[in-house]
Amino acid sequence: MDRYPSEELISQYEIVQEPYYRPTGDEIALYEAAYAVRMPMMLKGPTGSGKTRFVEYMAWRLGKPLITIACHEDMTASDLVGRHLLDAQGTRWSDGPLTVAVRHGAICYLDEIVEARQDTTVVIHPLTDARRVLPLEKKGELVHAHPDFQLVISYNPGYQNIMKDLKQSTKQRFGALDFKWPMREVEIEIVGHESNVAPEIAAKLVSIGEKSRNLKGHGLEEGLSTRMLIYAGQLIARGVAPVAACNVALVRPITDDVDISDALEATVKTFF
Amino acid sequence: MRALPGAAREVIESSWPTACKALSTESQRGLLEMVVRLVNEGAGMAPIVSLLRSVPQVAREAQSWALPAFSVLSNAIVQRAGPTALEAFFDTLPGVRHRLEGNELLQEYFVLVEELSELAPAGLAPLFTRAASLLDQLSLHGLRRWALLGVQNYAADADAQVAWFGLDDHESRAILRAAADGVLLADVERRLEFYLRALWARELQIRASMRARSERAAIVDGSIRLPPAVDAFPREDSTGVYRASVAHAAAHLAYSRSKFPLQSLRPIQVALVSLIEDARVERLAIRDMPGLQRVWQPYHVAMPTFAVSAVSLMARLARALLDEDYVDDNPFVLKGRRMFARGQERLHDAILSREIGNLLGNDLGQMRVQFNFKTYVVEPLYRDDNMHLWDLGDQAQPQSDEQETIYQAVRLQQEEGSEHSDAEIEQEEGRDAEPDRGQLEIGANEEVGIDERVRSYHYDEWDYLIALDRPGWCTLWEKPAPHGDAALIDEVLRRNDATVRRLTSLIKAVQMQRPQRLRRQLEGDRLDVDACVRATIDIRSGRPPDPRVHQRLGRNLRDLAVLVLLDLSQSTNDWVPTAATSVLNLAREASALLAHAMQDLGDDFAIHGFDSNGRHEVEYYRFKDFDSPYDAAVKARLAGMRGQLSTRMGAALRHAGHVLSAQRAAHRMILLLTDGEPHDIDVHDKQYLLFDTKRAVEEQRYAGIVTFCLSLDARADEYVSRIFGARNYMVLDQLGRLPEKLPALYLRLTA
Repeated sequence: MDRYPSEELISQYEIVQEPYYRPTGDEIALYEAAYAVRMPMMLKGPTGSGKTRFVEYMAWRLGKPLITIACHEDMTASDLVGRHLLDAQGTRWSDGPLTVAVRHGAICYLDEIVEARQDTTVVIHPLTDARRVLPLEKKGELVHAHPDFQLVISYNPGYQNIMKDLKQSTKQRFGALDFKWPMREVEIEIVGHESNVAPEIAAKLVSIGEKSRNLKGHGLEEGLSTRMLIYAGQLIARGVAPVAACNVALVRPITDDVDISDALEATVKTFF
Repeated sequence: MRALPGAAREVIESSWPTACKALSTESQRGLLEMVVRLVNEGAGMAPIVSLLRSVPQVAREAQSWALPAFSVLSNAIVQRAGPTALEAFFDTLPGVRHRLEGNELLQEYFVLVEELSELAPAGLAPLFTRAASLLDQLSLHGLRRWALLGVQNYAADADAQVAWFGLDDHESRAILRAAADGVLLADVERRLEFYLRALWARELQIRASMRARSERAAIVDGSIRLPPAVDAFPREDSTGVYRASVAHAAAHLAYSRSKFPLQSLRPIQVALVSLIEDARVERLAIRDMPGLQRVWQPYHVAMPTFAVSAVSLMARLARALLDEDYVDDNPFVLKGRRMFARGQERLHDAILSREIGNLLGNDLGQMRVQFNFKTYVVEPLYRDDNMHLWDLGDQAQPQSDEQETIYQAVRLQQEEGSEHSDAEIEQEEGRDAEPDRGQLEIGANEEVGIDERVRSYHYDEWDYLIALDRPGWCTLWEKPAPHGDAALIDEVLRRNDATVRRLTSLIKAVQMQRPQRLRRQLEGDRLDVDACVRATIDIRSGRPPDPRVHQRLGRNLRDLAVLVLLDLSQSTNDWVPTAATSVLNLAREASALLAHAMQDLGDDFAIHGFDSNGRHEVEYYRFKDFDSPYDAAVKARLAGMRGQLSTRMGAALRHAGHVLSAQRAAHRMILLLTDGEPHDIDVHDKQYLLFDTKRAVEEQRYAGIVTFCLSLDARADEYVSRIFGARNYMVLDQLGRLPEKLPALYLRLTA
C-alpha cells in the first residue's frame, strides 16, 4: 500500500505571513482569473523583477501551499516526479516535489525552467492540458491532479544561450504575464518598503537604476534589478554611506569591466 | 664571410671578438647571418658597425628569441626607412633596453618599431634619437600612444611626421606632456561613452579634434570634438575635464533644440546669449540629475576681486548662475542673476536665453568694457564654443564688421567639420594604399585551380510592399576567394597571444563542462541507483533482473555546425582609431581567432563572406568549408579578404542556410558579423532589404537554423532586433575588442 505524505509535509509549504507585493498593473486580477480555471501560467521577465515574490503573494492570497523547484541542467524527470528508494524493508516509492503538489493541490512553481533539459520538461505536458494527469510510469500509477493544483513556470528571456529555449509545444500550454521594471513611483515605493530607507533615498536609487537600464545591450546584459536597489537601500538604512553602499550592492556585482564600472560610479555620484 | 667584400670583412673581423664575447655559438651564427644579410642589402658599413657594437650585449641579456627578432626587424627598418634609421636604431638600443625592464617590454618595443616602420617610416630616425629620453618620461605604453597619435594625425605627410617625432610640433609636445601625466582622450573615450549612454540614453560620437587651434570642445553634427589630451584636473576624476565637457555637450543636445538666428546681433550679444543658454541647459540637466552640479562647479573659478573686463564679468555671471552660494555684488552680475531667477518657469523655452542675453549684451556694450570677439574664448574651459547654436540664415553677407567675425567663426567651425571628414576619408584612402599584406597572388590561385570555378545560384527576394516573393530575383555568384599570405594569420595568433591563451582556457572549461551521464550501462564507474532499484525489485519478484545497472560520465557531445558569415562591404574599410586598423582587419583577426577556437573544440565550422553589387551580382566567398581542414590554404584565403561594394544580406543568408542545411548536426547556426544595415545600390527604399533580411532569417528558422547577428554598428538597436529577434543579436561597442569578443561570444552561445 502506498503511503501518502502526511499533512505535516505539505503544511511546511504553506505561506503564513502576507508577503509584500506591490502590483504594477492588473497582474493580480489576471492571475486570479487564470487560477479560477487552473490555467498553467508562465511568468516572463528579467531577474530581480518580482516574479518569485508575485507567486508567493498569489499563493498566500489564494490560500494554497506553494512548492518551488529551482531547475538546472542536471535535473531529471525523477527529480520532479519521484523515485523508488531502498530501505531496510525493501523498496519504497518517494514522491518528488511535483507529485506532492499534484496530489495535494498546491501551486507548483518551476523557476528558470529553461535551464532544464527538454527531455525533463516534457514531464509536465500531461498536467498542462485538459487531462491534468501525471503518469508515474515506474510506479505504475496515474495520478489525477487535485482540483486545486496549478503549475507556474518562470522564464528569463535573455540571450544567454540561444540554443536553450522552450519548445513551442511547451510554451503554448501556458498563459503568460510579463514582468518589466515597475513605473518609477511604484519602484520607489517598493524599494522604500523593502529596504526601510526614506523616500528621497529610494527615489535616488531608482533614478540610478533607470539610468543603468540605458546600458542594457550596450555593455550590460541587464540593467540594475529592483532587488539590487533594495540591497543598496538596506545598506544605507544600516548607516553605510550611500556611495559606498551603491558600490557594493550595485556597481561591483554587475560588471567587471573597468570602463563600465567607472561610468556607473559616475552615475551613482550624479544622484548621491 | 669569404663572400663579403674586403673592406667590410676587415671591419667585421676587427670588432668580432668583442662582439662575440659570451655569446653562444648559435647566437654568433645568428649574428653573422644578420651581418651578411645587411651587407647584401647594401646598407653600408655604418649600421653594421653600430650593430656589432650594441646588439650582442642586448642579445646576451635577452633570450634566444632576440636575435631572430632583431634580424626581421632590422630588415624591415632598412627596407622601409633606410640605413640611417637602422644605424640610429642600433645605437640607441642599449639605452632603450636599459629603461625597459623585462623581455616582454622589449618585445613590445620591437612590435611598436615594426608598426611605425610601416605607418610612419620617416619618423623612425628622429624617434630613435629621442627614444631613451622619452622613456625617461613615459612608460612604453604612453610612448606608444603618443607615437600612434602622431601617425593618426599625419598619416600621409612625411614632413609632418618628422616634425612630430622630432618634437618640433607644438601639439606633439603637448600630447607628450599629457601622456606623461595628463589625460589622453583615447584612454577615457570608452568610459565616457558608457557614461553618456547611461545618463542621457543616447549615442554621442566622441571625436578627437585634429587642430591644435581648437582650444574648446565643439559640437558638430551631433558629435563632440574634444582635444586629444588635457591636464589631469581634478585629480579625483580619472577623466579630467572631459567628463564635464561631454556632460555639458549632452545637455545642449538634449535641451538646445533649435538654433538662434543671427540677424542683427552684435558679437557681445552673441556671447551673452550663448552664456545664458549654457546656464539654461545646465540648470535643466541639474534638475534631473543633481550630481552634475558637482561635475561642473570646480571649473568656475571667477572671483569678485578680478579686474573688471567683459570677459571677467561674463565668467562671474556664469558662476553666479550655476552656484547659488557664490556671492558677488557687481550690479551687472546681480541683474543677470535676477533676470534668470525670474525666468525659472520658462526654463524649457530657449527664447529666455535670447531675451536675457540681448539685454545684458546691450548693458555690457554700454559699459564700454573691452571686448574682442576674435580672441574671446568661452569660459570655463569645459564649455564648448557654442558656435553650433547659431544659424547664419539666408543672408550670405554679414551686416557689419562685427558680424563678419561671427560669420568667420561659424564658418570655420563648419569647415572644420567637413575638413575633419575629408581628413578621415584621406586616411581611409591612405589605408588602402598601404602596402597591403594581402596581395593577390595570382600564381597561387592558379595552382589551386580546378575547384575554384564561379558558380551561380538564384534566390527569391521578399517584397514587403506586395507581400510576395519575387521569384529568382537575386543572382548569387560563388567566387573563389583571392589568396593572401598565410603567414599573416599566424602573425595574428602570435600578436594576440594573450587572447589565445584566454580562449584556450575557456575552451578547456567548455570541454570539461557537464559531461553527459550515460545511464543503464553494462559497465561504468558508478551504480545507477534507479536501475539498481529496478533490478532488486525484479529479483524480489522473481524475475530476471536487467544487468545494466551502471552509469558513467560520457564525453560531452557537441553536435554543432556553425557557419560564420562575414559582411565584406565597402564600409569595412573604415578606419577604427582606437584599434589603429580597419574594420576588415579586425574582422579578419576575429575570424582567425575564432577558427582557431573552433578547431580546438572540434566543432564543424565554415567561414564565408559576401558583398553585393545590385541584385544580379551578389558575391559569395568561401574561406573555409565544413569538410575542409583549417590549413594553410584557408589561412591564405582569410589573409586575402577584401572589402568592397554593398550588403545584400537576405540573399547571402539564404545561401548560407542552403550550405548549412546539408550538414547533419543537432544544432545549426549562422553567426553573422556585420558593420551596418542591409543596403544595396539598386534599392532605394530603406525598409525593403530590412524586411527581406527578416524574412530570410525566418526562413532559416523554419528550416531549424538559428541566426545570430553580431553588429559593429552603434546604432544597430534600431533595426537589428527587428530583423533577428530580441534574443539573437549583440552590438559590440568597442570595435577594437572584436578579435577577443567574437570567439568568447561563440563559446557562450554554444555552451
